[in-house]
Amino acid sequence: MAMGGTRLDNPSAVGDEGRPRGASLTVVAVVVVGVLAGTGFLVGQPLMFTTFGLFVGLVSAGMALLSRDRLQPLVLGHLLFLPSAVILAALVGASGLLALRAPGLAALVVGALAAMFGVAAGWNDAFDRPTVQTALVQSGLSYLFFLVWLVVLLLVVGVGFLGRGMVLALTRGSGPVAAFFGLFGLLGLAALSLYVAVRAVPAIELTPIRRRPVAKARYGRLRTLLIGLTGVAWGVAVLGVAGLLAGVLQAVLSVPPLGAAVVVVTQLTAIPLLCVAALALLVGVLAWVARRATAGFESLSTRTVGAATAAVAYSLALFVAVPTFLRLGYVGVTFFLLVPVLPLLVYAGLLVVLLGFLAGILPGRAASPAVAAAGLVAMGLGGALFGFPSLFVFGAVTAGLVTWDVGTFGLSVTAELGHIPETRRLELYHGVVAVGIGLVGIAGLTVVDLARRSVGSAIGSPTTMGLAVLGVVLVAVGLRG
Amino acid sequence: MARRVRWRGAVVAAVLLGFVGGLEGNGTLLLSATIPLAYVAYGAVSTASVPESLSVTRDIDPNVAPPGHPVTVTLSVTNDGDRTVSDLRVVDTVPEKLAVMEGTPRGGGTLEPGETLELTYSVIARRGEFDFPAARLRVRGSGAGAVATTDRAPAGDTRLICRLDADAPPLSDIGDTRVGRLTTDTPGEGLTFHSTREYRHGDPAGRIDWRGYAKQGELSTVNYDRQVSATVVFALDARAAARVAAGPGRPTAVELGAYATTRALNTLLGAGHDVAVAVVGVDGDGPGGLVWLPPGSGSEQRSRAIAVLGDAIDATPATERDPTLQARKLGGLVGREAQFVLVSPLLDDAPVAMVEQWSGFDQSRTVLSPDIVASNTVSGQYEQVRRRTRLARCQAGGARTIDWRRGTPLPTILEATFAVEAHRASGGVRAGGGG
Repeated sequence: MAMGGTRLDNPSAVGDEGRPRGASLTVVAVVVVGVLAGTGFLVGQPLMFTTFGLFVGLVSAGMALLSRDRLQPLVLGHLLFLPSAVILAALVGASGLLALRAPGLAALVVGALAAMFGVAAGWNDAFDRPTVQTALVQSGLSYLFFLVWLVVLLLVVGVGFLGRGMVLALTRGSGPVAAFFGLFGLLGLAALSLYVAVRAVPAIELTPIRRRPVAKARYGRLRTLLIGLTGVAWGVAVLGVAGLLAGVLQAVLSVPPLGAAVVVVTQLTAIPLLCVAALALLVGVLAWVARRATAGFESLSTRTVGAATAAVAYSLALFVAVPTFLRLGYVGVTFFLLVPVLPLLVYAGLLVVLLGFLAGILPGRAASPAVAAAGLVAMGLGGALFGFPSLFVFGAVTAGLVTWDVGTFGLSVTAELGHIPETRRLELYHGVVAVGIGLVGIAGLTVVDLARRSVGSAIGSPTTMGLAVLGVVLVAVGLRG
Repeated sequence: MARRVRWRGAVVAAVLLGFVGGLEGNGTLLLSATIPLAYVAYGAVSTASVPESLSVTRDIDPNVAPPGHPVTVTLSVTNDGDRTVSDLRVVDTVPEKLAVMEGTPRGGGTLEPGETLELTYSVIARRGEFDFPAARLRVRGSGAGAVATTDRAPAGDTRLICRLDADAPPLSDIGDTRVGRLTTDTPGEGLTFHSTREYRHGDPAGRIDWRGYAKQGELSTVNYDRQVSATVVFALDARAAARVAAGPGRPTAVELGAYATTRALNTLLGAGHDVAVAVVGVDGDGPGGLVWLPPGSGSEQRSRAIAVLGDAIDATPATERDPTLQARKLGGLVGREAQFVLVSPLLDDAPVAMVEQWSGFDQSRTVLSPDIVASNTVSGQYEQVRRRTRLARCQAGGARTIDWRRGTPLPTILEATFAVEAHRASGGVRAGGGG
């Protein structure tokens, strides 16, 4: 189960309760794959769950990697988790809509996804309260960064268009007053941007130590010059405003050589000044990001940088995908607009799971076999409602019970004996017994069902059904495993 | 027998299937509701007990070991009955102060009649005597819902004894003679022929070369290789700074140092040298508050030295003693021919200052440093660099330095350390080698 050079689970020698032992998980995986393949055969598409399986696996792997402390696996976890989870969330949402018309099919789909996720999370040890909480916080952080990044990108694009319009207006010939303000405004902006870039770029740190005092003095003089230039340029602009209000500026600039000179100088320098300002700001921002990314070893900064990196990747992927969405017409545009909202469905789901853990509905260390078992029982339920043969229903429900039995048995082996000892024989013995009992149960029930159908019993009547349900509940309460 | 609740989810599944089956009038669902109930019943009726026919044996090899020595423990559980034990889990209880270094004291399996489950693990010995408690056996029923647990005392070894002199020869093997076995360039009394010289008045008649006198008519005296003994002073660093271990359950640097000292003094005493022991960092009755065992030889000296070292391990470290001052006092306690061996993990600068103090007395100095710094962390690597820098400083100060790395057998280290260099240009005798 290695990915990117690291194991997805974190095994320890003794006392690690998170992950069942390998043999138990193999039995569980075989059982789940058997039920999924059976479903596929019944609907005529044996491999229909392979695509879903890919996304489920990616979600599970992403959740496991989001708990890592190092940057590389963390970013990989972000990139695996959210996109796959968004697709799965869309599938589950669609199943919810489908449930209004075909509840059996919806139960089948959701049950299959749950069963697959349970197995994958069992292998990766990625489904307990801390992992879900970390995934929620980490991925939520990357989503927030993504939104902020989108807003910043939109602002930059807007400011860019505005600046372009202004500069074009200045270069195409404007009045001397507008040229005056444009010239000094842009000069101040360029000087300030250069000042920011000089402060942010680690030029002094990169200078050899013996030349650092000289470099420090030189950069100090440069910074003073740039901030002074900014002050002078914007000071002149402020004076210009005062002059404009007093009516002096128009008079001064109406002198033909002076006004024409200002216009010509502005036309010549507007574009270079704007380019210098934009490039300087870009360099400053990149230098700041590089400083933040490389500063310190604390996990908080690693996680923040990981989330921010993932957010940039999401944004780039979204922009790269724009032409594809546009080619799809209205559907594509609608989906494009929905993409930034779909993660909220994922986080709502994670929040519900977290509440399930906190409320004790999901068993802390046995959550993955519980989810897999519940998924298989749901598939049995859905199959019965959808009209699948009785054998499938019995098989799916039995598979759910076997999954729970073998999975929790593997967990107890892990908890008591750790990861080191060779316990395959112990697990396989129990797995064979559990599967054997299940097969005997399936055979017995199939015979009973055939007998029931052949003699046309009255089981279908509401009264008999009510009595049967009551009996089942009473027996269940009496035994309470 | 205890019972584990494992099937609450099955009850929920049965109720859900029964409810939906009833609601939808679906007989298949109603029938399927009995499947979870079957598993609940399967879990409820299964029973478990630990059979008396399970025999447990423990082997500790070696069961007497010096500190830092790996000890292999093997626990065997044999099914002597005629029924298969389907789910057996075994945990050997390791004494709290010992750490398992390799293998695991836990295991499990299915045991058929006559079959044996074997757990093998190794611990690192620490000074003291450790009793291994009973092993814990747990058997589960076939449904894994019923659990029976019992503690069963194994046959075989139950105690690990860890002594400083565990791998040293018996006391009776150490000679009591004070005559050294070192030869020097300086001729003198002894057994092996060295040279002849002109007869001087007063030379013993037994050393006169009568055969040469018969041939040449001149009296000459026979010189033999002079045999002397050296005095080696071991200074064990037992300060609080040295009472650290490489990890939980491992011996401290003081324990390892005491073991190295025991082993070395045993060799030197066996070779006829005089050995003294000083413990730095523990309150004692000696000069400067040292624990001081004056130079001596023979089996009694060895037992006294081992007792002093044992007490040093167990003693509370003194906080108000200046190790540099104690080193100066120590330098004045023995003659110029004495050699110093400082046994310290070198985790601070005080041992370096001690070695520098001894350089003022022009005495031979050796530093034996057990390495207890873990190098698998950034801080550990940093500490390792500092420790090696201190070793280099000791070496620059004229001391011979020996880095006892973890995993290196102590005898190999000591052989290198105390390979006796009998002849030195100055005619002196050195047990510790050159600088």
